[in-house]
Amino acid sequence: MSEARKAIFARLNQRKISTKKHDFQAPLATKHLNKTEAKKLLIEKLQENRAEVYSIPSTSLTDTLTTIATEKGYKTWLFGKNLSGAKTASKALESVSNEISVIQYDSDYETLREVLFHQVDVSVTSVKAAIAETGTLLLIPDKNEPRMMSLIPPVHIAILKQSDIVTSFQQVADNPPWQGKNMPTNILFISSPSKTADIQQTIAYGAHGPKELIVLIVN
Amino acid sequence: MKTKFSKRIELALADSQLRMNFRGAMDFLRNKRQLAFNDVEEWQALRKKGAAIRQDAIQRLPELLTQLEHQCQQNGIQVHWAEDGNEANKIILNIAQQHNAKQVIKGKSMATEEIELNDFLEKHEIDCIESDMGEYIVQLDNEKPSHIIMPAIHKNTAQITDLFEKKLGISTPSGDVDALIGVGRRILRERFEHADIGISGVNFAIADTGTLCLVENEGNGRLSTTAPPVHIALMGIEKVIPNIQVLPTLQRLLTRSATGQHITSYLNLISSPRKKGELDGPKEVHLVLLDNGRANISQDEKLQSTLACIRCGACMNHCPVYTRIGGHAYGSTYPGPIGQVVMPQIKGFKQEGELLDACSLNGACGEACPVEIDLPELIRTLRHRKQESSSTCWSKEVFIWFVWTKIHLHPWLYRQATLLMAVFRTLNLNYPKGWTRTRTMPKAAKMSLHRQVRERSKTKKKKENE
Repeated sequence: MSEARKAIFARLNQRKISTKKHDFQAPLATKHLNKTEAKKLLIEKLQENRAEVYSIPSTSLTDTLTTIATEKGYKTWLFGKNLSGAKTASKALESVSNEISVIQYDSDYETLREVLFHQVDVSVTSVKAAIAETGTLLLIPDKNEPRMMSLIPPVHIAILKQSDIVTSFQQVADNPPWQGKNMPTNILFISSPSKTADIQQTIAYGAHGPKELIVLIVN
Repeated sequence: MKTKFSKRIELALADSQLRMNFRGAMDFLRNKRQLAFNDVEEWQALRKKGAAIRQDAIQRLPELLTQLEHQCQQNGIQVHWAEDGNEANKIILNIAQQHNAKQVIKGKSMATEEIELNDFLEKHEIDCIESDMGEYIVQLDNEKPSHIIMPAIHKNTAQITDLFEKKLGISTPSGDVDALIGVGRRILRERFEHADIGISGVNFAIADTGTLCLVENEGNGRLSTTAPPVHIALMGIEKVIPNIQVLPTLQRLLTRSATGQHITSYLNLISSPRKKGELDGPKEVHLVLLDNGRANISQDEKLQSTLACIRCGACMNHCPVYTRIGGHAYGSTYPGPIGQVVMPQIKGFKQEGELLDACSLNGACGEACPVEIDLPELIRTLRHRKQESSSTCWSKEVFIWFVWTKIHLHPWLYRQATLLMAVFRTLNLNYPKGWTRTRTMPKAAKMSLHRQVRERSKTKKKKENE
C-alpha cells in the first residue's frame, strides 16, 4: 500500500463525521411518455442537435442505406458484426457502384488504424437504446462493434429499433441494459455529431469526431 | 504598495477588447443556462437532489474511495495515489517512461492544469499536446485557460485567426470559425493517430462499478481515451459518486449549468482497459487519485462543502468581478468564485489569500451554484480566517470596521461622528483611491438626517403652537 494512500486516508479518517443523513436517493418527479410521444420527442431532440433522422420499416433498411450512398456519395463503408441484415446491406451497397467498398471491423485497431483514419467515409452501428428526453443514443461497443466505429469516420449512421426508445436517462440508470456490476468496457451516450463552441461561442460541427450523425429508426 | 493581483486587475480593466470578449461570452452562457432551467420548480428539486448527492459523497469519502479503488482494480484499471501535484506528475512520468512515450495527447482536464503537468512532462522531453479546441488554442499562445469550461473565451475569432497564421503558418478566411476548427481537427487527428499515451480528467467516478465518466462535446476526450495504447486518468479524490443511479441528476445539473445544454454530445463511461477479444481501446488504463489539499479541506466542517463542486463554471459566469476582469487576472488555476475558495485552501493565504478581496459579496455565485454550495459564506469564512492568521495585528480593514462598530453601538458617539463629518465636509479626503481616481468623492450633508428630522419637528411644533 502506498505511503500517499495511507496519509490521505489518515487525514480523511481524522474527520469529525456529521451524522446528518443526506437523502440523495429520493426520486425526482418524472414524466413517462408513451411510445408515440417518446419517438416524437426523440426525433425532435435529435434534429435540434443536428442529427438527420429517418423513420423506416425494417424491410427497407437496405434500400435506405443504398439511397444514402447514392445521394451523398459515400464510398468506403465500415460495418461491424452486430447488425442483423449487415451482410445483405453490404452486398447491396457494393452492387450500387464499383466505387463503393465495404470494410468489416474484424481485425484489431492497430492493424486497421490507417484505414480508419484515412479511408472510411461512413460507419454503420447498432444502438442499444435511445433516450427521448435528451435525444440520446446509447451505444455499448464490444468486440463485434468496436469503440472507434462511432468516433473516427466522418459520418456515423446509427440504427435504432423503435421498441428500444425510453423516456429518460434515469430510466436507463435504474434498469441498465448491462448485468449489475459487470460493466462493459465502454458505454457511450451520443446526442449529436461532434461539435465545439470554443471559438467565440460559435458552434462548429465535426470538431474531432463525426461531422454527421444519421439515425435510422426501424419499426 | 501595489500587489501583483491588483496590478493584473488594473491591466485587465484597461483592455477593452478583453472586456468585450468576456462580456459577450458571459451574457451568452448566462442566457443559455437560464433557458435550460426555465422550469423553476424542476430546477430547485434537481438542485436539492444534486446537493444531497454531493454532500453524502463527501461525507462518505473514505468508504467510496476504497470501493472505487477495489472495483477499478477488479476491472483491470491500475490505481495510484498522489498526495500532491509533484507526486502525481512523477507517477504519470513514470508510466510514460515505462512505455518509452514521447508523444502525449491530452483531453481537457483542470486537475492536470492544477498540477501543471504539461510543463513537467516537457521538462522531461515528453511532448504533451492539448486536444480540446479551446485548450489547444490557449496552449498555442503559451497561455493558461481563462475559464474552466471555455478555456479560450478571452479571445475572439479574429485573434484566433491571427494566432493560427502566426504560429501554424496557416491562413484562414477572416471570421470563418469552421475553417479554424477544420485546421485544429486536421492537426490533432494526426496526433491522435500516433500518440503513445492519452491523458484525461474525470468528471465523475462511480464507486460501485469502478467507472470513469467523461462529459464532452468535441470527441477529443473519447479519442484521447481510446486511440493511444495507454490511458491515464487524473482525478481529484472528491469526484467520486456512489453509483450510476445518481449520475443522471449530476449530468443534468452539470451540462445545463455549464453551457445550457440538456446533455453534451458525448457522455463516455470507461470501466476497463481493452478486454480479451476486443479490437480497440487502450491496453492499459491508469487512474491517478490526487489529494493536493482536498483531504485537509474535508476535515474542516465549515469549508468542506468546497469539495461538492462539479466544476461547471456557473459561479464565474455569474460573478460581476469575473465578468469584468476575466480569468487570467486571478493568476490561478481556478478563477472566479470557486477559485477564490479553492486556491487559498490549497496553496495557503500567503500565496493566494489576496484572491479573496476580489468579491463584492453580492451572492450571485451562491444562487447560480447547481449543488447549493454557499460560496459567499465560504468566501466570508475564508476572509475571516485569513485575517485571524495574518501576523500584522490590525489591518486597515479591521481598524475601519472596529471604529464603525463602536460608533454604531453608541448613540452619543454616532451623533458626534456625524457632527464631525458635517463640519469637515469640505475637506477633500481622497481616501478610497481606487474609487476617487475616476469618480468624485460624495460630500457629507451639512446636517445629519437625525438633526434634519429633529429641526423639522421643532418647526412643526412651533407652527402648531402659534
